Amino acid sequence: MATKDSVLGSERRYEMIQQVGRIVTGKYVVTAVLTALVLYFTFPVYWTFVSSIKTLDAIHAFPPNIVPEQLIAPVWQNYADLWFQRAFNMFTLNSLVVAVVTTVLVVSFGTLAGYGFSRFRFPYDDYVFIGILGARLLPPIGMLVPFYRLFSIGDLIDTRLALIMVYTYMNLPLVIWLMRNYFVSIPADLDEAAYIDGATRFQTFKDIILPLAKPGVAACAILTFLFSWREFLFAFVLTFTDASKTIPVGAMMMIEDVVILWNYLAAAGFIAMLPALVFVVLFQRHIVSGLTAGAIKG
Amino acid sequence: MASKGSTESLREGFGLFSGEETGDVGPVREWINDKFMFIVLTPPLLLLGTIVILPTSYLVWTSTHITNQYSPDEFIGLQNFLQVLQDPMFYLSLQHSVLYVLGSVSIAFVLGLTAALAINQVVSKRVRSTFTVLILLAWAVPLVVTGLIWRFMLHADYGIVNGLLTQLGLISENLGFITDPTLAFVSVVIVDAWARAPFAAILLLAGLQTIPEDLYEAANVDGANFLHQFRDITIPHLKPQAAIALLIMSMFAFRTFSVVFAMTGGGPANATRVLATYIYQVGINQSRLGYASALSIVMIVITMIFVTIYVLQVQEDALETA
Repeated sequence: MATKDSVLGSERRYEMIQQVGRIVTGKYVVTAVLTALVLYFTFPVYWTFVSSIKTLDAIHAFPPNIVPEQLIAPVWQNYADLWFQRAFNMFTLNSLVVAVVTTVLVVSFGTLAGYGFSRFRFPYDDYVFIGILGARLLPPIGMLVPFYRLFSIGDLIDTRLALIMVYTYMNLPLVIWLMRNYFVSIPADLDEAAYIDGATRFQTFKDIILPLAKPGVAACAILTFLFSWREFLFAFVLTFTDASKTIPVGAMMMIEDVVILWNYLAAAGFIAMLPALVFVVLFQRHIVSGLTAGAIKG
Repeated sequence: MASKGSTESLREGFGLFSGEETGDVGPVREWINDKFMFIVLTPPLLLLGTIVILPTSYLVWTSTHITNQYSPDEFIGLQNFLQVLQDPMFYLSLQHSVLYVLGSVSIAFVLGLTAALAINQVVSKRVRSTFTVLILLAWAVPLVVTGLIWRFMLHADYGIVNGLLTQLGLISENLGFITDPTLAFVSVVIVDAWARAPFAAILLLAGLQTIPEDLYEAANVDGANFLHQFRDITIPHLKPQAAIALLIMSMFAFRTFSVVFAMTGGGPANATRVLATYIYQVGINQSRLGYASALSIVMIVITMIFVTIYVLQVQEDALETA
């Protein structure tokens, strides 16, 4: 380490070292580190795709080629088999229905409650609010048994409705918290001005405040959709027929055969991650803002 | 609650309006106007209350009962909890969970911090967001798929990891990443960290961007090198965000299920059994719902410690400054 002592010896030499150091750290090291990290983080995604277009024989070859010939001549049969023979058309529909309904439900209710918490006071409101946060932070696995049994008693097990209810339980608290913070960042002066101008409270909310909160609503909708789409534990426990299984469960099912069909599994895995990949590429900013606001402010 | 300063006055400011200023809008609208707080808050809170309070109370109820498919539930008081305290498998899985959290969170934190520092050095906005997207891709993969695909990549006979290590000449014989007990635990922890690191990177990057640029400029003028700047500027300024990131990552790692379940299912020989997979096994595989409920409550109580710290640290701040 260059310390102040050596500076006293030779100011110029020290500055040169500094300069070199800055170039090295500022450019090559950063590039090298980022490249290595990106390779590490994206390789499994790439490998999932590559394996999904291989035959089972090609998958069992060792050592595998990092750039296999299937990239030029892909085998789409795995996807076709999943879709037509292994009920993935059903699973995809289930995943979509569950994720979309949950998102609509959670975002509309969460936005209302978020607005309420940002603008009104009522007795014990802080405690109610902390309670909501607590509900979000507790481990969902802790609720596995009661949900499982209550749904069994209510004859709701193996239905999409059961999954929608569980995902609402898991996402609504986060969305209330995010939206409340978003509304707090919009000055209440705007509400008051609209109100004095003769707008009703509902008009104030609908025409003035809600349009301003659109980025927050978008972040909440994307996060809720992704969290519902990717959820595995409850989908695995609460469903047992093709009529309500979701894609992550379908991917896991490939493991139960005596021989694991890795080519199908990779294809199923790629279908499961596809919407998330697309969302990340298209809406990176919303996802990042939602994740940071959700963690740092809640 | 401590003082909430601006938030409180802001909310009360609007709440003070009586509604008389609106003029004549008809009885229905006026009712909506008067009860607007009631209208926006009641449906969400009722819904949330039902789907939180009902299962929670039922959890407490089942935890004090023996539940059996063939006979009616039988009240046994706190016996399930006493049994938890004497259950060696509970201690084993708790120990695994703690090691899992420590390992996964520290690896993910170091990876995330490295990524955040490196991305923060990139000047071009477009390049920066490209790197963010590429690193976020790992976060986007559903956790169960993460587990499954790594299980495939770590396969002893034809996994790409063994393939790479062989081709690089680092190993002469394929390693059983999933089949060897010690290696299996290490593998599971590393894979979990892989999935967790992007989240850490995002949080820490947000933290880094709040540090004023002139601090570094001043330090450059004074001739402080990268390490000095890191120690004297970055670390102190990043501490609050880092603490939050560690706390929330620990909470999430503690509840982990999908990665472990997909990779090893808790095996080999219980080497990767964590609390969540134990609860699953007791409750769902063995249908001992009462005992699984007691285990769940113990797990929730442990999590409550983290939650309390989190709420005290983060929420007080957020309630004040938001």
